[in-house]
Amino acid sequence: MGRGGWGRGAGGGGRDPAAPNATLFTGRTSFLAALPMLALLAVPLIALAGASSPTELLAGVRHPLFGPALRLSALTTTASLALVVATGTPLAWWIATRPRRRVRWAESLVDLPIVIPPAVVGIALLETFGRNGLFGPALAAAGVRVPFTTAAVVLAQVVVSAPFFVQAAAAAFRRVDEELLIVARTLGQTPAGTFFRVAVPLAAPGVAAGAALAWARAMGEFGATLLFAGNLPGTTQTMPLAIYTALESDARAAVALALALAAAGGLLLLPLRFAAR
Amino acid sequence: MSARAEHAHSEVDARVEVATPQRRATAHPTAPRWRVDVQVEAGNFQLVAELEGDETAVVVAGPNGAGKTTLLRAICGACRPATGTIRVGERTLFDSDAGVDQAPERRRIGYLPQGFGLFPHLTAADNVAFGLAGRGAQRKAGRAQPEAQRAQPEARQAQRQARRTSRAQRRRAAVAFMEEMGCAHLADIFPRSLSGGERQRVALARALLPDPEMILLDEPLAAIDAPARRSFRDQLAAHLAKRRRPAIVVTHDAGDVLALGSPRVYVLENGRVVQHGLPEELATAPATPFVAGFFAGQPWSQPAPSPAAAPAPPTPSPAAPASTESAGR
Repeated sequence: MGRGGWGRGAGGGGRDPAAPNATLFTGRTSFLAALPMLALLAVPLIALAGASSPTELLAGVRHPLFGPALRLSALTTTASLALVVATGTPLAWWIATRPRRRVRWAESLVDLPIVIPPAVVGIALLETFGRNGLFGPALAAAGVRVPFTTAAVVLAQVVVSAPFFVQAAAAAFRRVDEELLIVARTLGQTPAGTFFRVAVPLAAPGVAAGAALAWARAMGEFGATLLFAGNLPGTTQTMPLAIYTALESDARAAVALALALAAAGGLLLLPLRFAAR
Repeated sequence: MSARAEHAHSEVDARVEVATPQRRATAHPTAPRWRVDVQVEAGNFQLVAELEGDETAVVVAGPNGAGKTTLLRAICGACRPATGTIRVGERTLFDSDAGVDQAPERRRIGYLPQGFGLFPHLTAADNVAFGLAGRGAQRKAGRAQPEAQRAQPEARQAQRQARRTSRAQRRRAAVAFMEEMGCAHLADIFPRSLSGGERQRVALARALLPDPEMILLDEPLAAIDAPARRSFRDQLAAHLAKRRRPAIVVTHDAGDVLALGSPRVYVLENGRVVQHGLPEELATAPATPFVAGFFAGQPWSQPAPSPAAAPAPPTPSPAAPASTESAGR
């Protein structure tokens, strides 16, 4: 999921039917070669959908874990998305407007949470905000406890989802024609005015795609949350953690919860793939 | 710049006065209206250029990669020269020694990039109105600009109306100005649905509406189909001449030089001004193969008319070749 793959936004688009490759590689071989991965992606989801009848689904929705977990997930992912957009947009703009070799270190830093396992992120957050962590004494003195609270859930979601947003937003900002920014300045706009009146509207589709992707990643966040925030119903037990908990007692409830999450993800994917074209 | 180059400049200035008395008669007889003397470092590329002009257009020609766009960007403030000065009218926009570097929004330089740089998310009218919303446009309102008096009455009215006003009012002012520029019928159309010539007209209106002190045009006719080109070229020349605004027009087409009234031409090659002067001078004594090729087949390559037709020159040097700079080469 590289830079520019998602968030291609207005400038993107699929391969044209008249493009040479559509003519040169028409054989069935390439489709057959592509089939295993397509199957691997589709079959588990089909199995999940087939595993549950409507009545069972309804029972799952009425499961005591479902309501609080859904509410908590909605709350925390909204908060983390707001934080990611508010702090990630300036970072993405900064990365996009500086020469690439001078911001490579920052781009690598942004990529880190994608390549580092979420469990490691969870430990790192504990080492930062935990009682014995970097800010532990200072936070304790201020009477603030971060780990195993809803705030910890949000923090974990922010760290694991921010890269997806920042990458997509930076790519979208980079695609804004430099000349348009110059023209805006010569027409009397300040740097801030140029950003809000030209860069943001033009990059909006890509930025929105990045936000959707980040939100989906935050919704699915499990590992870092479990280590840093725990699994406390109503406080830190988000949907993925509720699925994990439900699986230990009632597999059907876990399936119902999973279906609800999958449906939310599928609904998100539709505008992401088709509206951004 | 070396003393030798300075000398070459004054020599050419003297001959400009001679060759185009009708143009200089209305201009200030004293100092040039604008002067650019910059050295720009961009990676491995270095641009060293010294240009000046009055209130008419100057043409900058040169092969691809010669530094033409870099020069325009330095003037409008999109890239900072390593050293040098940029002066337009009374104002110093950039002076490396004095530590002056005005932000682009305060330079009052109109800029038409290659492809015209229309904002794709705004209609033509909103594009034209864009320059009325900026801080520069608002600040300007407080000052009485003597230059503004010279603008056309309709334009002046549009500009006055547009100051400190709502979005709807700015849009009305933009449409009024587009009316004058002959493109009001395009007001509600988005740039992607405009032809090359229509884009050029809208972009020109957008650049002129805030009443800039100087206007920079990067290949303003390159994106226009050959059949329409002649008429657009003439219209562009007419608009520039009507406003008597200093302008730099970058082109690779000698036909544009003719349409603009054969103004002074600067030829850039490899980041250096290799030759400058009036077209007939450059055509008669081209300093480089590019200059020779640029003017080949153009009317100036015929023997120039006798300089005796002009009023008596103060220091007659009719056979002097156009000045050739080799500074830094």
